[in-house]
Amino acid sequence: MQEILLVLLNGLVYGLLLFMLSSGLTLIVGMMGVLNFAHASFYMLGAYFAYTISVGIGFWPALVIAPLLVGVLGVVVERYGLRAVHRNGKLAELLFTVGLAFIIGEVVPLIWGRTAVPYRVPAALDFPAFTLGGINYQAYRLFMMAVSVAIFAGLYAALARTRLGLVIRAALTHPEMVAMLGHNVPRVFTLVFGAGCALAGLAGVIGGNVFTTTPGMAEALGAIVFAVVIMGGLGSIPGALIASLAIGFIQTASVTLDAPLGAVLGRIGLPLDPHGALGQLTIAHAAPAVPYLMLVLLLALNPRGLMGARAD
Amino acid sequence: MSAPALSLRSLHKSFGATSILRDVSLDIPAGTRHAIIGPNGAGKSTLFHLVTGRLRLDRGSVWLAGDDITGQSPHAIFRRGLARSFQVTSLFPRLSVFENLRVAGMRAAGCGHAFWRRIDGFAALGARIEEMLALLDLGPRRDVAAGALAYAEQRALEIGLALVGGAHTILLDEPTAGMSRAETERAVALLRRLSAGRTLVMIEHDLSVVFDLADAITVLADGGVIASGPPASVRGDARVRAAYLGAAAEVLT
Repeated sequence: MQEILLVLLNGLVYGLLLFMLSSGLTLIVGMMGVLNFAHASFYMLGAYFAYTISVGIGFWPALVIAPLLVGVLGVVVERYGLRAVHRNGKLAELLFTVGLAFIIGEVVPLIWGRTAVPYRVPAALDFPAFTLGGINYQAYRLFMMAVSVAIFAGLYAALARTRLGLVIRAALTHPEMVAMLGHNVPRVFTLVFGAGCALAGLAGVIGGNVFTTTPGMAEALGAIVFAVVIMGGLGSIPGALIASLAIGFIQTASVTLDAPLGAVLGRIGLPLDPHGALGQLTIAHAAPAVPYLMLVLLLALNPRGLMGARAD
Repeated sequence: MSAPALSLRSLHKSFGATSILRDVSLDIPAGTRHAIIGPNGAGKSTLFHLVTGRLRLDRGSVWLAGDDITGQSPHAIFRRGLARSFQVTSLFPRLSVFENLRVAGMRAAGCGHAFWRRIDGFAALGARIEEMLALLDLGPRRDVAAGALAYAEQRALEIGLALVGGAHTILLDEPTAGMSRAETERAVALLRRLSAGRTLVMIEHDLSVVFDLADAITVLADGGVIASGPPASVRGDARVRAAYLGAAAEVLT
């Protein structure tokens, strides 16, 4: 029972972190039609910036400054990079973001080294908030949850209640029409791209110290974030939240379960030789494949994702 | 006498070697309803594209309320007060009727800049939208997603989007196309209400709608104006009967 509660809590933390990354990306993809392959790279930059800043002046300033820096970088990339490439079509934009992801992936180890940096949880929150079945639950994880929930609430209110939110929601389906009605759509694009990057940066700041801050972290999460955005439906914030939490729970649960794969397959009528290579595997070994399996299944059943806004 | 709402001065347009419009001139006085009729391929839609800036003129000029707007971009012309109805496909399907009108009216109500502020706090725009909802007969449907409206309601909302932005001159391309008899009658009543105090130019195939609504009619055939004037004079014009009306001539008598 306590084990299940622990899986739920950890799944929630991980799912909310995925949401912070995917909420920005889903708006960018939904509104601008840009499959931003560099999105997870901004997450990595957030973690590294936060590490450097927290070594210098502490974690709390880093929590504010690092996402802002990443956001400004995002604005610059959109305004002076993507917008120029935009004229050459979608493929050029896609290649541009792939190139950007590679550049960030090469520059980070040049500056911070190839191995993980010792980016740590702030001492003020590094204590057990409560104990569950003999396992201490760290207060910092509760803090992560609080930040994520606040971001979701803020984002939702901004989209539902502000003028900019209305323009963004309208532009999710018909950007050219919104421009015809006299709105400065390119500027809204820049703003959304910058805000999306800042959110990815914030995810890096609060996640980089719980997980690890290494040059491989962007790659590790990038594909999962894409799976979340596609599952949730392009442009849908609630869809991104549901997909993030689902992947968070399922992946955490499958990592924790060490039941042999053979036993599970045997129960659904696919017995494996318990002494063969496959028979030795546990569910945990298959965990990394789970998000993509879910993605493929969902797309086969409903190509628009859970709550997609765009039909194309 | 004030300048006409819309004045076309000897417009010419060709696509390659094919001449689409030849020397089309037309003055539409402010506050009137004007219908443009003619057989398919007469150049009616091209004429609208030229006026709204979607296509470039080869020769001639377009004047809106006394200002030369020749060669301006579509959104600059829109901001000067000339709106064209958009297609049904350009409504925002996931936004409510109210929100559709809000997006369209924000700019004109001057709240395009205060992006971060709550939308509900802008009373002038809210009042304007309520007025438009009543005019469009969409009051009870204000919170329904535009994508879920009936076809005739979508056409009405489409016109509403053009108007809530403050346009004084509206171009409508076949506003009653695809509607049933009853829907057409309601649409005519709606157009009558909406055009009060505005200038309306419409392309329309349904001649009963044309004769019901229009203060003046222009007949286009083969890229040229063959008749223009009050319905009574167009009705009696022999060239119009020969060029266009033919089988439909009984409507005129």
